[in-house]
This record gives sequence, structure tokens and C-alpha cells, in this order.
Amino acid sequence: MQSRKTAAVLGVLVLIAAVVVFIVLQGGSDSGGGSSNRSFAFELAKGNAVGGSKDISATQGDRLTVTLHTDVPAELHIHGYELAKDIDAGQTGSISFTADATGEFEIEAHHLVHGEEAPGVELAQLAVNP
Amino acid sequence: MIPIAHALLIGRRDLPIPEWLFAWAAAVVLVASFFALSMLWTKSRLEADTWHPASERISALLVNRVTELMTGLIGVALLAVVLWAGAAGTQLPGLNFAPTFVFITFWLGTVLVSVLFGDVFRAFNPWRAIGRAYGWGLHRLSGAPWRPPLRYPERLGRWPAALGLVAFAWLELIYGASNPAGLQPHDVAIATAVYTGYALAAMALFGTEVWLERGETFSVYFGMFSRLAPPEVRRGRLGLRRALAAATHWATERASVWVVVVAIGITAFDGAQEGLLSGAITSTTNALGHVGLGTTLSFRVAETFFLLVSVGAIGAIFWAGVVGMTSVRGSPAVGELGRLFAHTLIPIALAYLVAHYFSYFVFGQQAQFTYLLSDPLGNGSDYFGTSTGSIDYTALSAASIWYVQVGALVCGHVTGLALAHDRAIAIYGDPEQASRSQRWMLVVMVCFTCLGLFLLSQSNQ
Repeated sequence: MQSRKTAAVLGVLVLIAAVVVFIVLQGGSDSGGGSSNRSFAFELAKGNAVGGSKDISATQGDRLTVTLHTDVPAELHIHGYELAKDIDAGQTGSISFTADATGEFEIEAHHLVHGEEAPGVELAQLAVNP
Repeated sequence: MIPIAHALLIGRRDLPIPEWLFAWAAAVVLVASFFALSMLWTKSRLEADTWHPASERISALLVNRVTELMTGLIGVALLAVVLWAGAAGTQLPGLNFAPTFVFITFWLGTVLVSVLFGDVFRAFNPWRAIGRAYGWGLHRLSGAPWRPPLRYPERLGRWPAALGLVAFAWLELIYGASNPAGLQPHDVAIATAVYTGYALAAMALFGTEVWLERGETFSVYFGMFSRLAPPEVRRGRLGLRRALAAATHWATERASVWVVVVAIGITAFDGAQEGLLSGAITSTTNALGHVGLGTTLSFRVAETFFLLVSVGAIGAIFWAGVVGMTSVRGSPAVGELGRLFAHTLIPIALAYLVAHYFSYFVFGQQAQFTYLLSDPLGNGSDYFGTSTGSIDYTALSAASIWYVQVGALVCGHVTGLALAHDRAIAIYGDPEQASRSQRWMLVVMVCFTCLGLFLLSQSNQ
């Protein structure tokens, strides 16, 4: 009885180990490739995102430039990375950064009313893949 | 249409698990399941009481009058900080102590502690501490031991706790998400105050211990997970029991099944509302809007409907398996059988929590122990010199999050199967009948695990 139990536990451990090895090998083959520069441009007209919210993606390590042209005073905000820039009405502003953290991040424009943030307009969901 | 705003406590969401990992994980689940079926043990190992006292000195060091008083005071103090920060602090949810403490540190962290160290929440529970102080005070005043004025209606069982879980999830996932600015710290403070009043009133009516065991949502919820851990304090003495063994005696109260089903259902809903169900929620919201409900109300009604659907779906999968099991000779009635197998879902509930909130918890704790600790009100104070800290989103790689998610689901699956098998042997005696009944539970577990994997693989929308 005891030996059977030990064998079973061993079996499960071997199985788990095999799977982990497979996953690591599989995952390892996916990575590689150099980083690149990417630019994304958005426009805010009358306080609304032109074309609605977009899905954009990048690879970890990419150098990203996010540009916003707006006809109202707004703050461009990249969540997670916590980068923000105030842009005056009729102006274009941009934020450049290296996408070093993976995950999905919201890019928002906060309409500035008397310098205070109003609830944001979603410009894009940025997926940074490994 | 209004966008799902999230609680905005942290500004990042997990990437969906890639297809190849989904396929591998599903394959592992199936292989592990057949493996589990083939390595049947023939004697029940978890039903017996295996508790034995730990060393006298360690027990006396950890469990005594002083620690009892201190932990109770810490619990009450933390409750006070939540109320104070929520009421007096900034209304930006991510910069106020209250939302992150309640929904990340307390709600998720206490589960982690419970699974590792047992029912620690019992010691820190502020409502228990106040309830005991109340009973003690009345005892001193009248000179006779305090007796609660009402008898708890036994038929209610743990229904109040199950409904409390739904209410908690509703506050975070639906009420909070319906506000574009996120769940307001003010609302967290009000909800905390209301819950405190409700819990204390119930304890004053039915007795502290009676309510803690059945109605106090968090005691029941964390207590459920603590049943997986070896440490247990019994009559003031710390001891150890076999891991998982105490879970077999958890579902003694009525409606315990629904506590664990709701626990899985609300996590599944949170995962599904951003992927699988997001389209359905949006179209329902729009349809209700056309009927004339306001946008916020439409969104809340649609989300509430799908929250209940999620809980119902989890319940349906479980009960389908239970009904299937009754076809095996020598089975108890359906209701009894459901109660007998309810505890096998506890590891699944834990696996769902880990899979959905692991990274959220890690990143949230970076905020909790830096700027939220030093500046709980978000007004620029710096009590411990950590107010300039920030969340490092590179702390976890995408791959490590995926492996933890998939690993949690597979481990939960195997543990659930083990608990179910052990219980089946205890019920049916005959190993052959037991294994026949377990084909049904195997289907249930495979459904839950594959659903969990599927939710993780759906991209956020």
C-alpha cells in the first residue's frame, strides 16, 4: 500500500516536471527578436476619441511614441507606466517611453476643465507582449 | 455605452494566456485526471480527526490572553483606519488606503494567510472582538453569563454568508465599475460602516459564535479556506492536523454548498466580464438603455444579471455532477450528496482566486506597503518615509504570471479530485462503486478547470 502510494506520488511529480520542461522549452522558442520603434497617433475632437478606442500592441522592450492631437485642453495618460502630459487646445503632444513592463495598459485622455481632470476618454488598450 | 472602468486600483491587466499554453494545460488536466483515477487509494484518509497538540511552549507563546487581546485590537484599529481613510482621505481610489486595503490586502491576502496558517482571521476579526467585548461587558454588568435574545433559525444555515459574498462582489465589480472614476473611497467607508452595524446587530441577536460560524461573511469565507491548512487552535491549544483533512467537516451547515459556489462564481464573473461576457453585457446594457433605463442603471442591471448567471452556471455544473452520481447504487439523496461533496470545490475556489488575482495582488501590495502605508489619505503625509514608492510593473514577467495561473488551476483540479475520491470511499465503502461515482465528479472538475483556463485565454476587451 505504502509503496503504491509512493509510486503514484512519484508519477505525478515526474509528470509535472515533464510538463514544466515542455512549457519552458516551448516558451523559450517564442522569445527573441530585437526591439523596434513604434508610433501611435490619436486625435481628440470635441472631447471624443476619433475612431473610438483602439487595440494596439507592442513587444516588450520596444520604444513607443504616443501622440495626441486635441481640440480641447487634455491630459494624455498612460496607465501603469503612469506617464502623463498636459496638452493645450489645438496642440499636439507626445510621450515617448520604453515598454519594459508586460500586460495590458489603458491609454486615456483626461479632458482638463479649469486644470482639473475630468473622467477619461479611452484612446486605446495597449498590449505589451513578452 | 459606458466603458467598464474597473476599480482603477492598479493600472494594468494580465495578458491572456497564449494558445499553446492553453492547449498544454488542458492536456495536462486530462492526463492528470486519468492518472488520478488509476491511482485510487482504497481507504479513506482524510475523514478521521488527525489533530494533535503542538509543543506546549510554542502554543503558549502564540496563543494566550495577551496575543488574543492584541490581535483583536489590531483588527479593530485596521477597521478604524479604513473608515477614517475612506471618509477623510482623497477620493482618487488608487491613492486612498481604504479601497486597496479592503479589496486586495484584506480580501485576497487573508485567503493566502488562511491557506498557509489556518484560521488566523478569527484572531484578528474586528467584529468578533467587539462582539466578545460586548458579551463580556454585559456579563460584568448583570453578573450572569450573557445569553443572546434570539435563537438562530437553523434552516437559514450559511445563506447570509453566501449572500454577503454576492453583495461584496457586487460592490467591487459592479457598483465600482459603473462609476467612471472607479469605486469611491467614500463608498468603501459607508459600506464598511453598514456591514459593521449589520454584523454587530446580528451577533447581539443570535450570539457571537453562532453568527461567526454561519452569517459573518468573512469568517465563513476565510474559515472555509483555512480548512485546507494544518494548524488549528482547539480550546486555546495550538495543534496540527493533516492538510486538507479539516475540509471534510466544513460543509456541516446548510447552504455551505452555495458559499463555495458563489466564491467560484464571482471570480468567474470577474474574469468573464472583460472577455467572454463583455459583448453580451454591452448589448444587454444597450438594450436596457433603449427601453428607457439610464446608462448607469442599465449597466448595473446587465452586470448584476450576468453575475447571477455566472454563479448559477457554476452551481449547475456542480449539481449536474451530483445528480449524475445518484445513479450509482447506494447513493444518498441528491441534497445530502451535494452537501457531502461541497468541500471538494474549496481547492477550485482557491485556484480561481490565484489564477485571476495573483498579479493584481502582488502589484497591489507594492502600493499598499509603500505610498498607501505612509500616506493613507493621499494628502501628502509621509508617516514611514515610503510615500514616494511606486509599483514596479516589471517585477513579474508575463510568462511567470501565466505559469502561476495555469499551475494553480491544475493543482486545484488534482486536489479537488483527491478530496472527492476520499469522500466517495467513505460514502460507498466499495471501491468499485466509489470509482463509478467519481466519473461524475471528474467531469465536474474538468469542466471547472477548463472553464478557468478558457477565461484566462480570452483577451480583454
